[in-house]
Amino acid sequence: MSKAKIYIEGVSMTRFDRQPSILAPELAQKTILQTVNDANLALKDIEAVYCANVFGGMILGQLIVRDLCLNGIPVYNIENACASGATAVHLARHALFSGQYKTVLIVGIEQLTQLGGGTIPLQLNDHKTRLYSNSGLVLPSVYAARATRYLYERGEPPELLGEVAVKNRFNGSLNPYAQQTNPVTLEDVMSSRMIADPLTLLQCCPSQVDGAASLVLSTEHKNGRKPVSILASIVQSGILEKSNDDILDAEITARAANLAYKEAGLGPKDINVIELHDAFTIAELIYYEALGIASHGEGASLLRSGTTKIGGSIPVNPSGGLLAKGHPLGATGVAQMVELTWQLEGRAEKRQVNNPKIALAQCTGGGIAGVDHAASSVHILGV
Amino acid sequence: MDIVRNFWSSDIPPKLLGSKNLSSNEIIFPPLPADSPIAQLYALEELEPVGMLYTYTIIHPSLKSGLPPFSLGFINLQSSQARIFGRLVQEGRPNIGDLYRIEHDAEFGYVFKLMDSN
Repeated sequence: MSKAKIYIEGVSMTRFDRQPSILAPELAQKTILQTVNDANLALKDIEAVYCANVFGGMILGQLIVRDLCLNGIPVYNIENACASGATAVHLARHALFSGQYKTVLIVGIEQLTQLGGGTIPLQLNDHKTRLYSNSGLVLPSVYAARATRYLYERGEPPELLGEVAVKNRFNGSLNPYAQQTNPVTLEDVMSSRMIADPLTLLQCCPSQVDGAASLVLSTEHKNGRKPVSILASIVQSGILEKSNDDILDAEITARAANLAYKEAGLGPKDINVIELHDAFTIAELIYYEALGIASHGEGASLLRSGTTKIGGSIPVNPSGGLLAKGHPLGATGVAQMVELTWQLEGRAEKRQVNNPKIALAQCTGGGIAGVDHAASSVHILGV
Repeated sequence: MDIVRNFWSSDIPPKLLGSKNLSSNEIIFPPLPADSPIAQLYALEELEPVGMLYTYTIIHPSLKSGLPPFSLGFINLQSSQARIFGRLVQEGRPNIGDLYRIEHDAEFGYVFKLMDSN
């Protein structure tokens, strides 16, 4: 594989929000056109399209680009649960490395309002997932069970979890692309309706959200801004869980992060800003440790120190994260890289962190009837 | 979907069954279907009927559902054979470390019943 640099030449996203009256092509085409323009390119320069989506049905990508007159270029549809968008970037990078293409577009899109509400349905295509789902296994229950064990082992109060929501929802109040832009107090968080004990409503990402995000990747840097490149791109899969696994380990994320650090030749201390998969508050605390920015058992201290606030030394989820920005599954991984590209280029406006050089995006998702996830991805970007 | 599959032994009282990997001795639950292409790599194994609560949550369904809260948990079987997910049955709030007995249930296939409440 060539070691040619892969640049993020253009980025954009729609506001994440309830948009039930907008059809997929209109939602995605908006960001596609903005991203191509952001890259100072024309649609004719795009050689392939990678479309990440979970619940939109077959050939969604072809439907989205049909009226863009792209002359039948390859369109690849990618599903990998909440890591779909990041997986699309990963696969596109492979094709660029191989020399198959020089410039491609990745679009992530999801319209969760089309599902009618409630929690995201899990994969039910085997005997174990069906059995556990019938007993009540859904993603909130998985995260909540982790939170219960976390508070028990660490001797922490439930308010620790609430502090994550306060931080990220404040960040979201600075982000015009976020679905929920109201800052909240700890009292607001803790007094909101209990969903899956100990997780209250404001500790859960909104489940009714639509949105799209896109990137142009290229082997050539010509956009006239700082050159943002992908230094590492890792996708990993869940493994059969054992009876003595520590559910606070987030093994799949730690594995993906370690591989990403190795590929980039960097370590956790080199990271200046992070967008991570805070679908529920407990996730951020666990991922501090899985990503290595906190030692084992030190995630709570890291949060309380203010290090991960926008003004801290390792801001985490300056966009507001999934908690405030929203989590349209197929778009999430792409939107994380949109945000980090803006941060690295100094274009993040009110939520701009202090002159970052290296950024990390982590997303993970799906369940195969254990506690950890089915698909996980870590990307490291640099400028 | 028939979720009450053949994962109970014919003992009295019946014991929950898992599949034991013949190479690694790892046990998976529920047991593989008999017609699984990898069934020959596993053997049926009776599981301990008692386990310790490793972690749990209490689900609060939306008000419009009209459903009462219910508890879910992960149980570590006593001999550390396996960790199993399921419904918890007890009065009041669960406690990590409590012992539960696995019992047959018509709706869910099995439930975990707090031993002190028997």
